[in-house]
Amino acid sequence: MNSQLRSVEPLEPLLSVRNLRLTFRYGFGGWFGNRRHVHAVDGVSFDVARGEVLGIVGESSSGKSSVAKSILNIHPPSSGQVVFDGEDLDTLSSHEWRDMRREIQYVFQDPLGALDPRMTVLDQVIEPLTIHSIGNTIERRRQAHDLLGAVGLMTESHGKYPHELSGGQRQRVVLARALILKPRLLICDEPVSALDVSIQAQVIQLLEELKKTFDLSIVFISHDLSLIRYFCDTMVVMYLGRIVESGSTAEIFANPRHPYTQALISAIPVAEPGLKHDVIALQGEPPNPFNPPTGCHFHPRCRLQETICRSVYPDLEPVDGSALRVACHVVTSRHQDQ
Amino acid sequence: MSTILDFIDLKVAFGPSQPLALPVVHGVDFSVEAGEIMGLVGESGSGKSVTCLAALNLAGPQAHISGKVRFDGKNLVTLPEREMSKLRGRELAMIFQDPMSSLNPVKTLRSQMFEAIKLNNPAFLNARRRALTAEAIRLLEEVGIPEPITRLSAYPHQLSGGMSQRAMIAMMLAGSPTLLIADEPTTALDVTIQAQILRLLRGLSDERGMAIILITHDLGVIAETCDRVAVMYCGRIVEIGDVASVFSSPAHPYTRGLLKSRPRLDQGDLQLTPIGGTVPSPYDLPSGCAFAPRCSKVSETCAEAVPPFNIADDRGVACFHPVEAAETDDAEGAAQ
Repeated sequence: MNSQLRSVEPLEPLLSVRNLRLTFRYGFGGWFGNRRHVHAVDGVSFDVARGEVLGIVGESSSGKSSVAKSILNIHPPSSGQVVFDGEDLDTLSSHEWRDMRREIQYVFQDPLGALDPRMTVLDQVIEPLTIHSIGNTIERRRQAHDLLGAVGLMTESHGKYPHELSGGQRQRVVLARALILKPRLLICDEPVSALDVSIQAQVIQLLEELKKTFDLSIVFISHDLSLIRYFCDTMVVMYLGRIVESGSTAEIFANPRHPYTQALISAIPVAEPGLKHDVIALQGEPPNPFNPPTGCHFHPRCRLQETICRSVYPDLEPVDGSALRVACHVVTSRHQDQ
Repeated sequence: MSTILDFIDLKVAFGPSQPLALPVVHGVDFSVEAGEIMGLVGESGSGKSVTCLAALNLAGPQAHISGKVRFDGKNLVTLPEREMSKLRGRELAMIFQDPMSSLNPVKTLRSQMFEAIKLNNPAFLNARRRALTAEAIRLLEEVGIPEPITRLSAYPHQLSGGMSQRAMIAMMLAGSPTLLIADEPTTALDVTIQAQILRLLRGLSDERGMAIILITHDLGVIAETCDRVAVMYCGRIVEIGDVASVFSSPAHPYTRGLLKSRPRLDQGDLQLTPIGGTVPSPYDLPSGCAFAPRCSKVSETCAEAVPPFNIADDRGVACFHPVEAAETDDAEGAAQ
C-alpha cells in the first residue's frame, strides 16, 4: 500500500462498514430438500473512528463474530461495503489482502488454539515478520523481544512452548503476535472470556496500555456488558444479525432505549448485594437464526410489542437528534410524538 | 435452621496411591443450612468442584478423601457405595455446567424424564405411563418449560441451552432432594437466560426449603443469588460469611482483589486493580499462605505458616493480616 498517495481527511473514520450482509447456505437442494439460507449478518453499518474502541455486544448467535470475520474477509461478505482508511476492501486482490492484514489484526478467544503448539513464544512472535519479510533475522529477534517485554513477558518465558504458559500469558503472546506488525486496527473477539477473573483484569489493563502505546483503534467483541462499559467508547448491540442500538457507551448505559438493551443491561448480576435493581425478565429464548421471527426479530420476547412489530422490521434511526440510533418502532414513534 | 450438610476438614488428593497423591483440597470446613443458597466462588483450580464431587463420592477412583462430610447423621466419606447411590439423586442432587453433555443425545426427553422419575422417586417405581407422563409434565411446568407435552418428544439437540438446563433441573427435582449442588449452572448460558435460571433456583430454595450449593466464578451471580459465600483459593476456604458483609467489607486480600478486578456496571469510571501474578500450580504451592506471592499485605509470617481459619460472628477468614473494615474504604495506596 502506498500511504503517500492517499489523501485522507482527518475526520474520516478508520473503518467504515456499510450495510454488511453475510449469508450462509445450507442444505443440498434438488432431491434433498430446498437449499436454504441463514443470514448471520443482516445489513450492519457502523464506523470505528481513529483511536476509538468500538464494542460489539450480543448473545450467542447474534452475529458478533461473523461481523468481525467478514471485515477481515475470513468469511467474505455476501454484500455491503467495508472501507478501511479510505480503501474499499472489496476491491482488493488476494495479494493486496495480504498487505492489508498487516493493518488489521485479529485476536481470538481461545489463545491456545491460536498459537502453534510446536513453536516457542519468541518464534511465534517472529513468524509474522518473516511472513511479511520485514527486517533481517537479528532485527526480527530484537523487535519480538522488545514487544514481548511490552506485553509483560520476561525473557525466561521466551523459550517456552504454549502448553507451558498459563492462560493469561498465552493471551499476552497472542497480543504480541498481533501487534508485531504494527497494525492500526485490532479486532478482539472475546479476548478475556476464557480467562479467570483476576487474570481478565490484567489483560484488559494491558490492552488499555497497548492501545495508547501503539495508537490502536480496537473493535472489541464481548458478551460481557461490564467489560464493554469499562473499555469501549462506542458500542453496538446486536440481536440475530442486526444492530438494535448503537451510540456512545456512556449514553447507552445511562439510558438504554431499545427494550432488548434494557433487558440485557438489567440482567447482568451486580456484585453488590445491597443494590436492588429491577431485572427485566425476558420471556423465552433467543430465536433460531435458521427460522427468525417475522418483522422485528425481538418481538416475541418484547414487552413493548405492537402490531407493526410483527410484520415490519424497524430501521436503525437516530433518536433525540444525537448519535444514538435505535431500531424499534415503539421507541422511535414515541420520540416523534414528543 | 437445621444443618443439612457439614464439611469437616475435608481433604482430597489425586493419585494412584495415598503417598503419591497430589493434594488439591487441603481441609475445607463449612456447612449448609436448610433453605439457604451457599455460594462457592474461586478461580479455576481452586478446588470448588472437587470439594463437592468428593462429598457425593463422584471424584473418581484416583481420589483419596479424608475428613468428614456429615449428612443426616451419616459420614458420606466413609459411606459404602451401595448406601451412597441410594442418597444420590434422591437426597443429594447435582447439576453441571454443560447440560447438553449431561443429557443422552439419542433418547427423547420423555424417556430420560421417566428414567429419572422412576429411579429417584420410589412411588413411581412401577407406575404406569400415564402417571409418569403426568409427573414429568408437572416437573417440567415447575421449572418453566413452555408446552411441556410437546417438549417431551424432543431430543436434546432440539432444546436450547437454557431449556436443557431447565430439563436437568426438572429431572433433579424428581427425587425432591434436600440438597442441590449446582456446578456453574449458568456459565454456558446467555445473560438473559442466566437471569431466568438463577431466579428459578432462588425460587426452589425459597419455596421447597431446598439447600443449594452454587459453584461459580462470577461474583455478580453470588451477590444476586446466594445467602452466604465461601471464597476458595488453592484448595482452601480463605473467607466465609454472609454475602452482604463479605461483599461490603471483604477481610481477605484475595476477596478484596477479586472484587476490585471486575469492572462495575454501576461505577463505570472506576479504575480496575488486577491481582498481579497467577494462581500457583498445585504441584508447586508456596509453603505458607498460597496467596502470599500475589498479596499486597504479605509479611514474613505469611511465607512460613498457613494462616489459621478464624471464625467469629459467622464470618471466617484465613489471613494473618486481614483487611480491617475501616481500611476497605480507604485508598488502595495504604495497602500497596
